[in-house]
Amino acid sequence: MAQKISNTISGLVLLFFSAVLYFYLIPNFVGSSEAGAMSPQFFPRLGTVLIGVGGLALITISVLAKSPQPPEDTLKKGAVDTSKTLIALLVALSMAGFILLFQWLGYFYAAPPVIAVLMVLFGARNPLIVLLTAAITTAALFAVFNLGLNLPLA
Amino acid sequence: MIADLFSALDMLLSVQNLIAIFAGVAFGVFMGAVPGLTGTMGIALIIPLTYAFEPITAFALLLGTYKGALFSGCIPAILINTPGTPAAAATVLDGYPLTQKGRGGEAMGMALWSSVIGDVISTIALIFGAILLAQLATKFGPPEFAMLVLFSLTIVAGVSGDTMIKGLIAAAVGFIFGTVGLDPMMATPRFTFGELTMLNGISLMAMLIGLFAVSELFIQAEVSTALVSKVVVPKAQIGWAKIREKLPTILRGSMIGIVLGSIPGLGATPSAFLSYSEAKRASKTPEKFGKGSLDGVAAAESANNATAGGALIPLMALGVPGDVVTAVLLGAFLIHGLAPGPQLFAENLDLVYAIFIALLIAALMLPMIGLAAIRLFSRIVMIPRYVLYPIIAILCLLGVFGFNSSPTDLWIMLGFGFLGYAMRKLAFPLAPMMIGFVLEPIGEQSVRQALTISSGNWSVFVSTPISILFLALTVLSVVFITRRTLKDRKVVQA
Repeated sequence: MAQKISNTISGLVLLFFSAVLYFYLIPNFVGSSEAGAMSPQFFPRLGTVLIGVGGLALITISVLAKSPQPPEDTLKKGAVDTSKTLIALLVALSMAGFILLFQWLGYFYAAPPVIAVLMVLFGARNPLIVLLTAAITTAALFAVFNLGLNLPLA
Repeated sequence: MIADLFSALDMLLSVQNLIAIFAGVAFGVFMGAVPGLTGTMGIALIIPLTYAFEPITAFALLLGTYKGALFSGCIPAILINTPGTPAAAATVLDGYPLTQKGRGGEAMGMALWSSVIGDVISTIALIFGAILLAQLATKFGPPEFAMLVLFSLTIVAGVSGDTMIKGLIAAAVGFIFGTVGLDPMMATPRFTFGELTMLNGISLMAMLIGLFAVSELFIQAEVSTALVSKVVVPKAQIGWAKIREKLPTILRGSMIGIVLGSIPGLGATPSAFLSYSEAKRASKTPEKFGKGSLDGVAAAESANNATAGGALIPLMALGVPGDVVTAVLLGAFLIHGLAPGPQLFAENLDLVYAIFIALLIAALMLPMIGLAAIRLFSRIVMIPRYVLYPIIAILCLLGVFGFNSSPTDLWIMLGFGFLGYAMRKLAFPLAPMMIGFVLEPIGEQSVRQALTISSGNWSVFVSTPISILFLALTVLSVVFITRRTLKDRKVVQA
């Protein structure tokens, strides 16, 4: 049942996405040169139609399908467990925070706090280990990228 | 040819390149041995470290990682009943029961040597197969390449996920992302939204690290407890007589791995399971399978590792990736200014040979590094998640930034991380999306060139035997996969 619902919602989102692509994004953000045998809009439109048809098929199959008792692993794969997504979201926000701090202040101000936050999110509880690991990792990665590989981190 | 071979040896045999192969295999073994980390993630993470390297050094490192990760998935599979990589799932069936019987050392030894033999055989097959296919591919024109891309996309989409529809949707989404930037024929901007940085299209690095590494981080963030507390690691040892006894199984597994590896979309996991079932079918004692049979370990591991050479055949000879790892490797080629395919064989034959020799050296280094990894396994799995994953997160960010020094790429990477996470939660496969993205420019250019040559006549796509063959294969694969999907659905509903 959970998989049916998630497939139906996925199908609806895909249909909406393909409609936005087809009727708004492609006409406004893809040039239409008529030189050559094919317009530059052809392939974006082809991909869009495939997404739309796929979304429609997903909805149709989900609606028409009977509701058998699917295997346990199928349920797990198809369903979204919202209680666990919060930590994943916090990890994503920490990474976004790194990007902002990195742009505004630079690597040495961005890396240590973000590494510390990520460590806590991944289960670290000892403050000394968190501080030491954050400091050592920041220095080690700077040495690898900036000094070892000559890739400037600024 | 001989001159190219000597040139290749001259190019490859430096201390720096040998260290690169060694480091690559060791890093790959580490990535494969830690459950939750994969070879694809390892290659994606290590590509940024190769920006400053010569192409041969970069590929020595990357291909070493590929080979190392393919092998080491068996270590946790045998010792703790947890496959390190999806491809090692078949090894669990007999590997862990052997450990329970106190024969874990034998199982590890068999896995190691089956992997090495499968690896060497598949590299030899790659050398001959790729050279022959590249010669054939010199006859390919735009219509043939267009049909080849269509065939690859269909089969990859069809066999990668639970349903063909989800695979096709994923491939179509990747295809749309591939159209971003200047179009390949008329340089018309598409979906650039007035941003200069978007004229070159979506950064391949940002996409692949986002999809395969960042999305995995988000998934791992949801796992709250450590998997392993303490592991007793036996010494990996097996006599030559036992290996010789299992040689037919290893050879059969190697052949299955090479063939299935070279078919787009299949790869290591189905190869390992097919080899396992074939070994069971051919065995005089099939009842021992699943209860601790060395044949089962040998079959799964030889096939698993032999897929590397098979999967590299279409990549090297045609420039068409057949699975996620080769799609990532294709990205690495492009990042280093090289386009695999017949042109690479014509213009950089010495580099191609050097890559082949590097693969053989990597296979020969595997026993040494593999034995060390088995000994160190108890320490490898004890590395706390809260140290490992934050480092990987920062590596992802710095790696993508290091490529173009563009903060926009970092946001794109994060966006793809989210998208990959959502797709995995909703059981959409990631591989077709990546392959759709990589193949879009090749396919679009081929179709538009063919239509330009034929003045817009679509019959150009059925004008040669090779393009007709690929079209027929496409139709057959759609019919086959659709029938199989419908049959599976009936079984589930019954």
